[in-house]
Amino acid sequence: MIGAASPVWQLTAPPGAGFRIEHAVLTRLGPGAGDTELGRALATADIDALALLYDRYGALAYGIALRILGDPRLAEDIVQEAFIKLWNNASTFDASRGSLRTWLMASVRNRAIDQLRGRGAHERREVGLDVVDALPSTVPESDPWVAVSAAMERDAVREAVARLPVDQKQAIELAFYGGYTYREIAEISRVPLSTVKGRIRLALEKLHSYLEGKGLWNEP
Amino acid sequence: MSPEREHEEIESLLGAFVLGATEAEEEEMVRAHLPGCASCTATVRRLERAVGAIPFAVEAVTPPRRLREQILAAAAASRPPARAMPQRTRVLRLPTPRLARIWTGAGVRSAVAAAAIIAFALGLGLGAGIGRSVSPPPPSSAAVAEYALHGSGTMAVAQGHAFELKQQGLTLVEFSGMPALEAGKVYELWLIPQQGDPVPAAVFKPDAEGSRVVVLARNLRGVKALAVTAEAGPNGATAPTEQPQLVGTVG
Repeated sequence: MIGAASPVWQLTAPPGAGFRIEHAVLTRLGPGAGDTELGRALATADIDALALLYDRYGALAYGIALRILGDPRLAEDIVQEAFIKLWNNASTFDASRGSLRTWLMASVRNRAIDQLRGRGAHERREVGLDVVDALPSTVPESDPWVAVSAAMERDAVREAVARLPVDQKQAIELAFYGGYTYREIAEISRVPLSTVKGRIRLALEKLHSYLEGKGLWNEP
Repeated sequence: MSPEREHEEIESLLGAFVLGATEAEEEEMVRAHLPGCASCTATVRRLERAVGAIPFAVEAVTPPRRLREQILAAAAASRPPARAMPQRTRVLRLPTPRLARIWTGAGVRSAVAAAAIIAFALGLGLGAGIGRSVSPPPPSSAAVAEYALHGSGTMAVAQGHAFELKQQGLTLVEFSGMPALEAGKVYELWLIPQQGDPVPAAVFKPDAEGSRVVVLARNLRGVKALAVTAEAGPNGATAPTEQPQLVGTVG
């Protein structure tokens, strides 16, 4: 079935013999494309945009899934599910309203938690691609800044989390990475329900306030 | 419960709500409350931003290389309905039913990965299969045929692998080791029929690594061989102008 062919034609083939060709060499969606541009390209089923998005956020997505699940194979499945979900629903993405990466990371996290807690997709809280607005594009659209900006954001979020009191940090981490309800966290921490609710609320308010102060989002 | 008391109760749940850390009935209660409460809606919006930021503190971990291949394969296999094509990635328009698409280098950075993509998509068994959750039922191996293209002369190091997806009516040709083109030139892929003249199938330029993947929206029925020549760009030629130095037989 496989093999090299002998010479297959003569150079005397008549020009324009029975067909016309209307095509052009394709240009590529460059690595410097911003997330907004990637979102638009994804909406047109551009597989290159998906590859670029994966190259940009695949490691973070995998890191999140791995942290939650602790199982590399399961983490791979979760990341794949999230990317394919994005691919299949990208036409609904409204670049002016949301952040693609925020949706992606939330999708990875929610799926990983569902896996961890044995919940089915029918129970999953999943927002549409058109309603995400957390961490809107503060990442510059030019490639050299992407890595720098991402690192700055990462450092800012880490610093914001690190500045939280231990009990507040523990509460949101148990919920976010462990998928525990506030009632379960109350049992684990041996504190009243109202205390856990308060800790979570305070932690999130502090995170928002700190990150807003760092200019990670513009709207109040 | 009075409306004020209910509001207070729900307001106290909002932090847990945005983290998905409430019980199901509590979540329903919050969702029912939000449309009529601007204050709680604003709070949820604010807290959701904070929750959305948390993942970005996580340490990125390089996943196994196969994951990228699996995702792209699954995406290709899922083939969402065609929509308006992006301006920068035009489908090559050929006479019906010939339709070719270049899989640009940015999307398929390595030739091996490109081959694996289709292999994965078709269950050829090169590495792990598509993930359990998103893969379509893999077609039988009889539905897939693989052909090799071998280079000679100035293209001695070039290689090609064609995967004919019979059931899907697709053919993917993955090139590697392609020499850099002269200015103004493009490579042109030809289908050599059992009888008749070579049929132009696609034009392409390799990426910096000499790789490229071309997808043809047709099978190889009636095709005797595949061949590549360098032709004048950007549209190539309607008939080959040189002897091909990268050729593979079909069947």
